[in-house]
Amino acid sequence: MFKDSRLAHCNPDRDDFLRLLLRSEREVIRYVMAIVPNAADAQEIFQETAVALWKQIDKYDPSEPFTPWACRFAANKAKEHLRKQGRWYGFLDENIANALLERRAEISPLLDRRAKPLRDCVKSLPTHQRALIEKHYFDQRSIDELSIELKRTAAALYKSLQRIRVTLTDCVTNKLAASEATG
Amino acid sequence: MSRASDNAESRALWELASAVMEGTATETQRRELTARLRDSETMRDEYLAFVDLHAVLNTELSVMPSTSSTAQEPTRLVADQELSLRKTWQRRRIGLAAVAASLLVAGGFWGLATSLEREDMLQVSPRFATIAQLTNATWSGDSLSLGERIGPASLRIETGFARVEFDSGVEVTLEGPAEFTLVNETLAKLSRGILTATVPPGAERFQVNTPHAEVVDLGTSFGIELQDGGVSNVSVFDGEVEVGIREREEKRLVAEGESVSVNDQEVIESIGFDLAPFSKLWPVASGIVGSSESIRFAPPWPPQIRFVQSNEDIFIAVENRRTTLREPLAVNAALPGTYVEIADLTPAEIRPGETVRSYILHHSPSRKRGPLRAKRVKGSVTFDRPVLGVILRSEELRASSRLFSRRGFGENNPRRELQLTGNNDGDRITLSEDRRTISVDLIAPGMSSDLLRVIVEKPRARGARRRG
Repeated sequence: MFKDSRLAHCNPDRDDFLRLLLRSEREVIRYVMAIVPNAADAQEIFQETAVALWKQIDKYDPSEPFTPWACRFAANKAKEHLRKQGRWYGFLDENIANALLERRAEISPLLDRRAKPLRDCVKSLPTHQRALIEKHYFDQRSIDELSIELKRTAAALYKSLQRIRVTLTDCVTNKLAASEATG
Repeated sequence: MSRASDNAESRALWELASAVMEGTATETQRRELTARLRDSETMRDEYLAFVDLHAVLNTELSVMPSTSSTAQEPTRLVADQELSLRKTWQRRRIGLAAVAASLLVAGGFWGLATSLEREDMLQVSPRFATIAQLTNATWSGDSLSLGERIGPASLRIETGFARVEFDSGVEVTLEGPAEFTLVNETLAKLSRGILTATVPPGAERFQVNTPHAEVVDLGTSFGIELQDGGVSNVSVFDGEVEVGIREREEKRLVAEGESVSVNDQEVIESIGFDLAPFSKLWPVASGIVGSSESIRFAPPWPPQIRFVQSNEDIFIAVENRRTTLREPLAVNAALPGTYVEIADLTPAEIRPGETVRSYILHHSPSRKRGPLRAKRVKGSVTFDRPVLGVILRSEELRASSRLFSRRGFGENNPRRELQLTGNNDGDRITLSEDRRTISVDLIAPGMSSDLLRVIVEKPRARGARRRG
């Protein structure tokens, strides 16, 4: 009886499953990347998460926000991924993974504040650095592809990307400090 | 989060994290990073901030909201819905299609999706465009064939030309070397090369992104030349487009006959209108597969160019790219064959409801230096679709004059019709067996000139048919 009425109540929301899923995608992937910080792997985990969510959709309470619910599933899938995929062998363990995810939840408002000035920081990069970042992230070009296109070794490109990330990290920190000092 | 790049410990941490992020870390490096994260909460915070920056760049660089990504204000929903429609870039879109496919495999999902989503899932990667024409095209990426249906994909053309027709009716023509990415039915990206686009009524707001600019069509035709270093020159041939700097409020309306340049400093500047970069694209963009001898393509702007006089050339121009006939259209020659005399004509009516494209061919010798001895000019044009009929007599030219264009072509002047006299001073025209090639052999003595209107079959855009 309870189950039936609950299902009937849920039905219109179930129709929106795909919409909810797509809406939560970026947040879920960001969350997953805290312990599996590789874009392709995170995308794979998101797909597995989507299937798991769908199988358990009856257990979703539509009065609760969808993203945190999805993140719980994604955390399990991500930890499973670390255990099963050889290329992640030796990285983190259950305790550290949990500690990172917990801490990430605590500092997520700070991370969101840091994300805000990032666009301006990307813009303020010298042209060649910005071009590299755009090709790698915006055009989703792999290092190997870029290495051929830009006639630079993969190792040199990794170094450049690393330098740019450090520059962006500092830029974000500075801008945030400045805006919080004035605001 | 204090500034830490001058801290050796942070630097070492970030270096390890970068290797893990890029998938190049050795097991030793992974263990090393793990140990550092186990030991120190500060290091965990540093690490989380660093990888989150990478995650944000990955998920949001192209769509990064100006407000906090967790803010719950209503605009966030709108942005998200828009996002789910636009689905940004190719890999992302394919990723979503893969999600949909996994769900389908998981079972039971079918009944829940909307019809649009179902269509997406059915095709896994939705297809919304067709390769409509290839001319000497060689590919540096995956090669595509004529008539192939495509969805989100990158077209990398080394040489030659390709014309892509979106189901919405938008047509994009590329000249190699070029790289063009279809994101969805209303959004594409030019990373290299030259393109022209024509956007029919109903498909306005079709957008092409370049490294520094967003070009939004307002119902028109335009060209983009992307130069080395990322400078985009945008020229408008008809109508108006909006050129904006990506992710900034700055926008500029660019009208017919104007060009602007957007450089890598994201400055929009007016530049001299120049059609030259696009000259080779016109034939392909116009659905013309081949031409020979004296046929020349009239550039689309300024429109008066269609009246240009030349003793040696026959000009062809697209008059109307796509229109659906509302009443019967009388043509003078509808069947394959050679027309030398009036008696050869095969008059017919094209039925209302037929969707067609019209072209104007004209030959108008220059008489600036007084009457010349008339000279014969010949040429042939092959179209990508069958010719439904040719209009070449004064009465029918006049009757059809305003159906296809607001601009007249001098149809009211009886001296502009073709003279099928059967003699040496007469014009000849041949429609090939497959009805795709028209050959003309023209002579315009005295004060006469030659004008003919060619009506070619042009199927309605798929999108339009679906809506209809």
